[in-house]
Amino acid sequence: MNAPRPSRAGVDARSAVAQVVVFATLAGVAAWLVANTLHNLEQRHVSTGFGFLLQPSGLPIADAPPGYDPTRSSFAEALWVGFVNTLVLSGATAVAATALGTLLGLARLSSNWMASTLAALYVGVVRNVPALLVVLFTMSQMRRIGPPREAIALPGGAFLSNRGLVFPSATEGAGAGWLVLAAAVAAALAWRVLRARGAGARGAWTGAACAAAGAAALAFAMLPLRWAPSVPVLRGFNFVGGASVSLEFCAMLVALTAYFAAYVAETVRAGVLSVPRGQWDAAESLGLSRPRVLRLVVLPLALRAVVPPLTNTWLGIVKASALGVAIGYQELVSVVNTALSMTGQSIELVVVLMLAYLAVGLAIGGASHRWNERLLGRGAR
Amino acid sequence: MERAAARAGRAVSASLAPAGSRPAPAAPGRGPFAWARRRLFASAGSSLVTVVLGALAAWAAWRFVEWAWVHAVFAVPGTGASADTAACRAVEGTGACWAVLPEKLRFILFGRFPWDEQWRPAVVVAGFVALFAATTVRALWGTRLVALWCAAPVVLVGLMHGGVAGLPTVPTDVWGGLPVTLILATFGLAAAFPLAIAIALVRRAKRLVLMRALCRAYVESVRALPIVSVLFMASVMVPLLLPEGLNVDKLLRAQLAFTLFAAAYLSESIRGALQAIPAGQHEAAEALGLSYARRTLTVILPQALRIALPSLVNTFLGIFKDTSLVLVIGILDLMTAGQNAVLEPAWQGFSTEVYLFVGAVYFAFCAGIARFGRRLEAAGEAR
Repeated sequence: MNAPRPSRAGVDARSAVAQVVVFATLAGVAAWLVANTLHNLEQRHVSTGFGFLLQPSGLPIADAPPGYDPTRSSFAEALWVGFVNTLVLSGATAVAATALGTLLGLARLSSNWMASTLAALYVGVVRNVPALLVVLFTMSQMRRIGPPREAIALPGGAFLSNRGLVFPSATEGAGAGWLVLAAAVAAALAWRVLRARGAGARGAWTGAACAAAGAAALAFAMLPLRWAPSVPVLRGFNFVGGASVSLEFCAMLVALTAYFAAYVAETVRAGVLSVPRGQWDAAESLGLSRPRVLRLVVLPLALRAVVPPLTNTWLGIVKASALGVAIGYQELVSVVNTALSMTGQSIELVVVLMLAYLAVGLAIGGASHRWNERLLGRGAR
Repeated sequence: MERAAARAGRAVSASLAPAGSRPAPAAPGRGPFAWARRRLFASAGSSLVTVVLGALAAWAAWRFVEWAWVHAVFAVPGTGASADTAACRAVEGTGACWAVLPEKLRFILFGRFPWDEQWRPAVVVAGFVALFAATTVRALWGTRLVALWCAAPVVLVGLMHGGVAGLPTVPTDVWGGLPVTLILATFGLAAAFPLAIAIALVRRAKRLVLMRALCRAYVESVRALPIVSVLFMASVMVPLLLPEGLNVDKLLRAQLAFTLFAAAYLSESIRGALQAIPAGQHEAAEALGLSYARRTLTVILPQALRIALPSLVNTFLGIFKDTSLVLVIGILDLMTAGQNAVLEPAWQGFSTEVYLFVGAVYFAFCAGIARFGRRLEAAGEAR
């Protein structure tokens, strides 16, 4: 016979005791660590609290909006600029990597041997080297680009030199990013509302375009922006006019896009393979051409398997933007790191850092969840 | 109209005719020409893709061969600070300077480890490779392998550190290169694995409400943060958290950060697999009268780990690659050593060659891990 099993109440009591013991131990360790920290901070004459955030930072940031002035702007502003840089870099990378990755994923599935082999080779190599290596390699190659006098002319009037990328701009003053954001949000909202009210695709797109234009005009009137079209021209040793982004930003964008495209490609490939063979056959038997089969039947079905891992990859991109610290692109982690060495306010800065990344993580996670629900809901109907 | 109907009738009767009287479907032809027609030139679009991609690939390959072989410099006179790299400078941009590799190889692989003692890191790397190789041999699986994994850290770290058996002591701040990468990745993952299993089990335990919440908060916050910032925290916060005078070695701090980081990610893989185990397995094991520990160890975990395998291998790969991030806190691992190898004025600017070499080393290890993972998966499916 087995030993009599303990009653349910006995098990509950046992696990309650175990939990209390573990908690008491953890609380004790935490209290000890806090006491140590307070003592150490006192020894170093560091005052705790978030008051330092309002003091002028003296922290120079290369990729900062025109309103940012290190001698006057506070630490809070510096951190905000860093956070915006993180978002801009990750957003641009996510768009580019998703586009390139989808192309690569489809190429891997292609019946064309040349396309599938080259794509497989690319994905196989990139997935087996560290992202940091790709970043450092890209940066070392970009540093070899000549000075502005020997800049590489890109289509659209942009120039890439060892001082970064200069391109034509339309406005002067701070807040161009807000303008773009306002237009994008308005367009997305208008599109959703119109579609929900039963508008056709063409009508919804027109409405979205009108809403974007309206929002942009409103934002333009409210923001300290001036209309000043300007094209970069080489004068002396550097370019005059236009807008610019640093070489570090370009290197991060190129490197992270190249790296994460391989991951997106794997996701897309798995998603397409998850679509049952019968769907292909049925679509082909309707007489659809192969590109239309892909666009109208297979990709929409594959999207269900693609969305969760794809949004995970996007989250990975946001986190990988912290690699900027290795080549001097001043995103959030890099700004926090500099601020930390200037003030010694490690706990406060770590809290700020965690909150910022948690906010981004929750936003992407929430959006992913809702998108997924919608896809599954549509399938059920 | 009638003709169309007749044609349709013929088509139907043809498709309904007994199989023997229908012409056999055109068998895919054999031989290289048939293959090329099928896989390269199936349609006009496909042909265009083949030609454009083929031309691009051929051009890139030729440019690489030109750079890496035709115009390359394989050796320069002199060594160290007296090396004369003029020949390399002359071809900079058009040809590779492979002379940098033999010159800097020992620095890239072993960092600033004392020159005369560098046989020790070399033996340690060989030891790691042997450990990995032993792990792939199925016949060795069991208590012997566990014992080997328990003994490995002591022996390998002892050999690096010295101070025993007449070996001079080498402090960790001059350790560097490949051994540091392997130590961080291997021991970080090995220590994180049991921790991850514990976290995953707690998160599945119904009664441990408080601990479940605690583990969830831990896993979610670690997964929300970039590892770069976790490393920063480990290097900045740990000295603050500990009492004055108690100092934790920098390498150990990074090791700790990696272990805690890896545990959060691994626990998510294992938790997902635990969820995939049917409730019937728990119930059947309970009905046999097995205790919780025996149910978990003999019934649930073996199945869960097999399910988790692909995702575990991915996490292993990710952590192995992420060890390169210790660059930002100034630990001289393989990546950092590669970056620092070309700081010397004579060799400045030959980073491409070094990065290619470092990339090849990472690739070899990562591809090995991935291959082993695929073999395990295939073996699991075959059972």
